[in-house]
Amino acid sequence: MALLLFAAPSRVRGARRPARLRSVILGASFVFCLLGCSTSVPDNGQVGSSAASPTGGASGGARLTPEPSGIGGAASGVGGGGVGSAAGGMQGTVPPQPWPYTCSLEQLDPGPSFIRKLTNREYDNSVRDLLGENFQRGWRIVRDVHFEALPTPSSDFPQDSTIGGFDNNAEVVDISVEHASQYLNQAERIAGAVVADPKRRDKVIGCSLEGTARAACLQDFVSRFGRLAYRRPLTVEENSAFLALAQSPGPSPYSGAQLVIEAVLQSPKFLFRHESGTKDPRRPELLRLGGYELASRLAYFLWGTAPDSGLLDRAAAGELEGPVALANTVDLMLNDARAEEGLRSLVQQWLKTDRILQSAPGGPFKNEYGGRWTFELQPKSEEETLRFVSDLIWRDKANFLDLVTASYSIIDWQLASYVYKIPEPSTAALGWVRAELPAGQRSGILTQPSFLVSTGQHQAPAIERGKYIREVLLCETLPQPPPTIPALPEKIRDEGERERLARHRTDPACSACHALLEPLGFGLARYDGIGVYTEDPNVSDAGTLAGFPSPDFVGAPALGQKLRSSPALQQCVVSKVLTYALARTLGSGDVCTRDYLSQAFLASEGSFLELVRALARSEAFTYVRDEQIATR
Amino acid sequence: MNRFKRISRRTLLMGAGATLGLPALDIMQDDRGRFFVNSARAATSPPVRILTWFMPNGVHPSVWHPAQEGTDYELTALLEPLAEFKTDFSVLTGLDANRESILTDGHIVGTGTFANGMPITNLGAGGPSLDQVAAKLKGAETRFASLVLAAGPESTTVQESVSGAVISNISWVAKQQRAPAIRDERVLFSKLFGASGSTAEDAYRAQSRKSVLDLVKSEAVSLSAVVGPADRQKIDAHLSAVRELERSIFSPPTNTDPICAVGPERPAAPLDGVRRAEVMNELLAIALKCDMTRYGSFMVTNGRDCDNESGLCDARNSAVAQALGTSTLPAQHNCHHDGNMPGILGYGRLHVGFFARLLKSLKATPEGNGTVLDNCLIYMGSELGNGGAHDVTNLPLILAGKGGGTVTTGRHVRFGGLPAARLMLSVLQRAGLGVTEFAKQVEPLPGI
Repeated sequence: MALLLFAAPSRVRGARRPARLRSVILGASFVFCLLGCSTSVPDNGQVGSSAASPTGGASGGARLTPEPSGIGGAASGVGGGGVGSAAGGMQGTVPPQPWPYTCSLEQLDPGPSFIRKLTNREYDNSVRDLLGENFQRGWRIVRDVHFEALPTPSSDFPQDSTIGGFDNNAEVVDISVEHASQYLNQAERIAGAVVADPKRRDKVIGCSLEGTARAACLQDFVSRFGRLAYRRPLTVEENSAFLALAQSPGPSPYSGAQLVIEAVLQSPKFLFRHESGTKDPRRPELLRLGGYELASRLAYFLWGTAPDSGLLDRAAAGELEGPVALANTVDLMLNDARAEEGLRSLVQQWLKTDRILQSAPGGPFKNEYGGRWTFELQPKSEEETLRFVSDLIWRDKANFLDLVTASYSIIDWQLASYVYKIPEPSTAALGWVRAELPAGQRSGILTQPSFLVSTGQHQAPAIERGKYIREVLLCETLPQPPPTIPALPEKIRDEGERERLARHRTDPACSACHALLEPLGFGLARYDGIGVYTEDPNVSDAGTLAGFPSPDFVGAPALGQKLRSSPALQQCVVSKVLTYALARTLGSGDVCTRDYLSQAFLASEGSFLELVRALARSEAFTYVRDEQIATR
Repeated sequence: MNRFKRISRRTLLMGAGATLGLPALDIMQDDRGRFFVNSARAATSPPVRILTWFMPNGVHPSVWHPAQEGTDYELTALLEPLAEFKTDFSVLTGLDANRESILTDGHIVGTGTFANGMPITNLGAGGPSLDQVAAKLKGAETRFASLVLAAGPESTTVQESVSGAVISNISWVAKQQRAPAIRDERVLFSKLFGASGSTAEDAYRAQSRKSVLDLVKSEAVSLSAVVGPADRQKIDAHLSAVRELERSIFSPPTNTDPICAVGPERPAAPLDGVRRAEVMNELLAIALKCDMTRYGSFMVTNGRDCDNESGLCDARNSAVAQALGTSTLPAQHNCHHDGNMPGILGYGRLHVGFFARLLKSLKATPEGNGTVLDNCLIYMGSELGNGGAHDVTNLPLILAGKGGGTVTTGRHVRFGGLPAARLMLSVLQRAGLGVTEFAKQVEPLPGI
């Protein structure tokens, strides 16, 4: 049995500051462009630039307010709802409004909000921060057959189910006796480990439970630990209940504290995040989140973990109330190393970077263009994309929409020589480096192995690649397949993949959806199943982005430019971040917020952090619907 | 309402003298004319167990459907691994999944409705599955209300907007509320027989655990009081989960037979997909025999699994490839779409073979006048009538076990496109659970 470890290398950002806060107020030239600029603009117009069209000119005119749906209005009838239509509810959009507008409190419909159970990942991070649980995220190979995530405290929990791409959807009830049983197992294991290790014990308990100060120490521990675990001060009742448990006699001076830890880790007030909010006279049917509630929301959104003592102190001091104070707190949080891990998790789920690990290591990977592949490249490919996207998030002035156009990547020597076919960087010893890739061959994530390999091992890669671009990068909801489907036609001798799939599309039941998929995926035909590029003149990489204005393109870089200049991609980025932040599928009430955030994103020239900032400070994030009223 | 009028021998003897002259067997029939094997089903009669059992990716109709109906039918290639048990199950064909959802992907629809019969939604199944309905009604009589098992992983989404849970779970507590499966045999061993190497717990430990759980419950009660109605459902679900957990912790195993108390030998290392399916079925049989639970489900894995050309992501692939004498074999899903008949047969027989082992184990244990299997009702099948065409009509379904003598096995019965939910209703009724409606069906399936 081979056991190989791949720890996900964690980048220590130290005190690196994110891009400086940019104002979202636009210059006069931009407004002028919005009103009068109808001349054609190059397809690769810089999004949000004050000099060029904000959205590119492919559709024949600059638009600032994003289109109702990227391609929804096109003859192909794709999706129908554009961004967020995956939610099944977000139809249409608000009419274009003069900039700058906000989705003000008066316009806001925050939609339903649900009590949230900690996801397994959030649970792991929370017990790490609260109780010093030590684990490493990464992968290992099991029995030479498949990759398995390295164990974490939640490894035996029922897996979170993914809805809309994310593990934190709170719309469904997902709590069961299997959960309760595993919560108990971990609570007892962790509490036992904490009191058995003097260093951990002292850190968690914070004072001595032996001797005369015992009573005071127990009280101090209960209120301090309770506050961190419940993410707010304990009520008087809670405090006395936990104190009574802490004081119960046991075999060691620490027995009572051990039971408190066990109880807290199984309490629904730790496992669930409840928000009660307070009435706002301006919108009596809404509730404004209190300081502690907002601190939790922000912490799990930006850091993927519980608020720490400092953040709770800020909440107590009112430093999450009022736009300026809140903005400062959000900036401080983004300056924290935990933000990188938190946003990394968002990206990982959105882009499904771990899909490449679901293929078998050492399998007969489709390798047509003479590259080499080894299973070590699977976790490395995921890491490449995560580092690449992190760079787009955190590098000063980076435009996040380079996601689909960048001619560079962040790679190691093995990816460089096996996949990208470039000489090993001279800095090979340094590990991961930013490298320019061979000219004209590469275009952001569209040509990275994390995407090309996970889709390229399918029997018809063009279909899978088209599907990924539509669903993941453009947030389209594809038409449902017919109830009964014909088999993919057998390959006729000498028939190419294009001809074979074209025969498939002659069936009208299939063509509605497949016309959207493989003609798009064929544009990536120069990349084989392991992501290696070919110059072979016999390979055609002509593709069609059906439903888009001027849909035809040749090759990945042209496709990347087309996507980059499309409002659909930029709206999709916003929708995905919003879906993750709100932990539910989006609905018609979210259009106002989405459009507001889209504009903030555009105005900041594609700054992902600006988008996150605007979201964290938005009314949609700080208010919830009063469910007692809504369900009456 | 239970539609079956059971007349015990005692009732019969106390009855009018006129009946005494009649042969007992003629009288002790249900209202469909079938008699009960064991006429004295009093309080001592063994309980009827209910299982749902799922194998992925459907079948090819030509190798599943028997040509003849009735008892004298010939086993087809995919049913052949069940030859030894031919009299213990019936093959039921011509039953359809619920297709009322706007979602149409066959794997999603077929799996999402498999054991609950309601239209699926993006967020989950449309209603409770029959094993969980039974568990809710009678599950408190055993240590575990139900045992939900799967040998494959929870799926990520097949369609971006659809919950991955829909395709990787068949047990649902309620609409959109899954009963998550235990997917790791080590977790299952611990649940049934305690943590590996655990010693008897001392009195302090038992008492302190009780105090902890009491506090957890009171925290749930106080939280439940301040949340809105939708959220209350979650907190109450947590509260009942804790109560159910307490019951299993504090009610020690009643059966002291070593196989019930400590279980079979635990594997030293994590198992591959094939061995895991075998071991889980063995443990499921033990749990039923030892009356640790009476209801449960098992999934080999979800459909559309191993959806890549290498097909190596699961040990099932190499097991089938080896059996077929080939070095590479596409994943089962691809075999169906490519019409790869040896592959279709290979995977299908492997899965049916897992089921055969479960039947064998249940049949090996005598109980009452028969075996444990005689007191089971196992709803077994797959999500697609035709794996290559994604067709969710004419599902491949088997009803195994005699339900304590309430069903007639050993036959192939063909139906003309009735909802599979009617069979699910029949199962609940034959088990004597007093269910009158299931998945909006009020008419049980005739002729089983």
